[in-house]
Amino acid sequence: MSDNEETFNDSDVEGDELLQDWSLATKIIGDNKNVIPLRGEKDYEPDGTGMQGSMLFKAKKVMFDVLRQPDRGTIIKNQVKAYYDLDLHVATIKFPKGTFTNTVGSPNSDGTLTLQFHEFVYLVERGSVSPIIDLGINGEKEEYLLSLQDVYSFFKSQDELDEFFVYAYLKRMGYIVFPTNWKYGKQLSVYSRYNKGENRFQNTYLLLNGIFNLFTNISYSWLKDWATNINNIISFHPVKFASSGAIFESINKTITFYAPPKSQKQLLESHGVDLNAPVSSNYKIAFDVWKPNPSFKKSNRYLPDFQIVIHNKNSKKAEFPNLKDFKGIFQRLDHKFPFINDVDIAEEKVTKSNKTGNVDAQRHLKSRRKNNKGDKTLSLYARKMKRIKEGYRSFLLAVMDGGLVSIVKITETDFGSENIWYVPSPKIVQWKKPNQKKRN
Amino acid sequence: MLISLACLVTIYEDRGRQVLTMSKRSHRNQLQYKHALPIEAQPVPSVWKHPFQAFSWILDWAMRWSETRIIDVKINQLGQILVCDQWQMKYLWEHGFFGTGQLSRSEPNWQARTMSRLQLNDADRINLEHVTDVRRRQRLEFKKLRAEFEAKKLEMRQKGIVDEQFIEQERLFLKNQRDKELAFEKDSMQIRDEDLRLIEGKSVIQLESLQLMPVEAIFLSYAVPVLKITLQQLMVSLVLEPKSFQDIKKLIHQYVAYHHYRSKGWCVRSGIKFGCEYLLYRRGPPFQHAEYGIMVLDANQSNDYTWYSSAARVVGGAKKQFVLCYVEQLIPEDDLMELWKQSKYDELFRNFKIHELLYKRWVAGKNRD
Repeated sequence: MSDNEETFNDSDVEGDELLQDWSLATKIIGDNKNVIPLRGEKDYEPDGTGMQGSMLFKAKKVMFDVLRQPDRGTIIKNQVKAYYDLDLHVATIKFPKGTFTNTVGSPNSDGTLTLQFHEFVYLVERGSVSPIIDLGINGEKEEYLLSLQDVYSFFKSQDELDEFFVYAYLKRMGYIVFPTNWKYGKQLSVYSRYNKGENRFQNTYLLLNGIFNLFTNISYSWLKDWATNINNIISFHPVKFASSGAIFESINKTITFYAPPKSQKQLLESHGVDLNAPVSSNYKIAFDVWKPNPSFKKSNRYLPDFQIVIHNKNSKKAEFPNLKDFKGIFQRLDHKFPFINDVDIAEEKVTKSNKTGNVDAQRHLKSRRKNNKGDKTLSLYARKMKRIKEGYRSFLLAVMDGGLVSIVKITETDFGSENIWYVPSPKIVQWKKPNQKKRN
Repeated sequence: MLISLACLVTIYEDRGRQVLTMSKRSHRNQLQYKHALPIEAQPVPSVWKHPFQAFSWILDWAMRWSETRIIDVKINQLGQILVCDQWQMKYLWEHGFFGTGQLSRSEPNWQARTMSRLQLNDADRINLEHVTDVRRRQRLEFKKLRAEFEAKKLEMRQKGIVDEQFIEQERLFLKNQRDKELAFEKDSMQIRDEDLRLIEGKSVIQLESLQLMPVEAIFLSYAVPVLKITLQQLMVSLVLEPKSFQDIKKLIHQYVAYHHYRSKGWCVRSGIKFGCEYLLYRRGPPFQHAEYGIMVLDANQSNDYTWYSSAARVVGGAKKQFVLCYVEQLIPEDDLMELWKQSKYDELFRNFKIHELLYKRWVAGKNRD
């Protein structure tokens, strides 16, 4: 195997099926004797023995035992009342309690909790709040308990419904989800380090830097490709090459390509371009999404792990995004970009300041940093392949079709900047001779 | 039980042999496909050791004496671009995997295959079609074995015997069977009447030619000039009298994308079998499976979601990454058309820009860490 052919192992081998694994649940019900049979080859037909039946019975029993387990579900007594406001189209919890408040709702200064409509419906569905409406009849206010159907009838548009579907789906899967335009508390921004304090200098710095870069880039790229450039000027195209690399070099400048921002600085530059351009897009970034984390604090949020855009397949307003639409979305993204390492440091700061139960988070960060270090042991070739495969900025696109959600991850990548041609290793030439002798 | 043990032993022996042939084969591949493009580079000789050779190298370079256009092509009335010479076909395949044998899956090896079928040569060459064939038969064999085991197990179960050891052994055996690499046994030969007409002396008449995709032909005439046909001649025969840019748009977009990936070192082959435009191999089909499925799109293009999801599902199902490759036009269509009319193809290609997006299904349950 030559040096540039070392394979880089990808961890996420495709395999979409997610089996419900009830075997872990046996611990919850304190039943260590009944091990649920592993699922392997299917039984296609009854084999005339009691074996299959008893296996099925066992598996079913464990499953139902787990479901019957008392800690699950909601207790009516613990339910809190959420008051729906017809005019503002939000709901308010006057006396918020329960763990769900860690990741749902915007607290107000008077101790109440305002729920966005999608949050409200989600909590009602989940059984965590009882939906109440205050109706003034004959000058007297009276509380009415709403049914789930009543609550559903308050949706104002298809878009709102779609947002709810995506929100509820991600919440049920354990993620922490808040609207991207949420104003409550503080949230880190990829661009914030430049905005804070350095605001005044930012523009001058950028300008000077830009001019400097322009010159160095031009002269550098010219120097690097001097041979090709001179050849182009005198329109000389050699047909003889000293190495196969030289052949590729002679042809790989023809097609221009887009290189996405790959560093904090380039991100800022690309973001800056956007601020001057008018934003008119059908594709708004609907939600910020965090991976489940017990030390998450909604008042002081670190960078989201994902951002999600919703597109309804059947909508007459918007088609599936084209290149320009995608560019617009990419420029507005502001979440954790895994290709920038120092973003992790910022996250660490926030997690530390949160203090509570951050052991997990610390361990998580440590392991992540270890992974980054692992990159350096890869060969140059493997690193190129990894960069292409992992790409750069990315977002999630949730496509809706009649209440069904299909999520796609769209990632910028850059084949153009990575030259991956095969360079024959000198070893092979040496091996050639004995081998040939043997064969002749 | 004894039988299964005996089987295990043979499997291990086979495996040892397999490892040996695999490494030999991959080494042979390294030699056979050393050159990634159909122009072979020649290192500059050392000025101190061989001053004369070095001087002649430079002179050759400066005067462009060496002739690279060595491949004859024929465009038939169907518009197929064909290379018919035996040596040239082999040359194009071995130098970057260009073209497809019209009677083969990809490598033009119909003649060799037929000769080996008719046992006209020592048949030590292994071709991919044969590998697939053997693999299919092995799979059938495996299924038969598995069914036998199942029957045995059922019989035991009905008798009320639970033999953990037996089940464990069975699992191991089947697993090994599945992992087992190919062992090639020679086919018994059958000569049909029509075969006799193919045989000429000790060989078989070559009926096959190598067909180039239009983009491959453009690349081999423009970027790496080895075809004897000039780019202009080629273009004229590919698109007869285009009236507007729409007539040439598709071809140009395809070519721009093709050139982009080829010039970075990827081996680009048609993606027709996976519902996309191109497949990208690191080095080529004999070395590894294709890693990327490329879909070439116009920058303004927007299709229904189903279009994207079906394409992505097919490519993803074959364990490849799906790439949306957008081609952007940098100047107006009329100007591009003008460049075409003036045969300024180089300038024409330079007025396009490539943008790439990876498109991947995202499963909520698998991204929580």
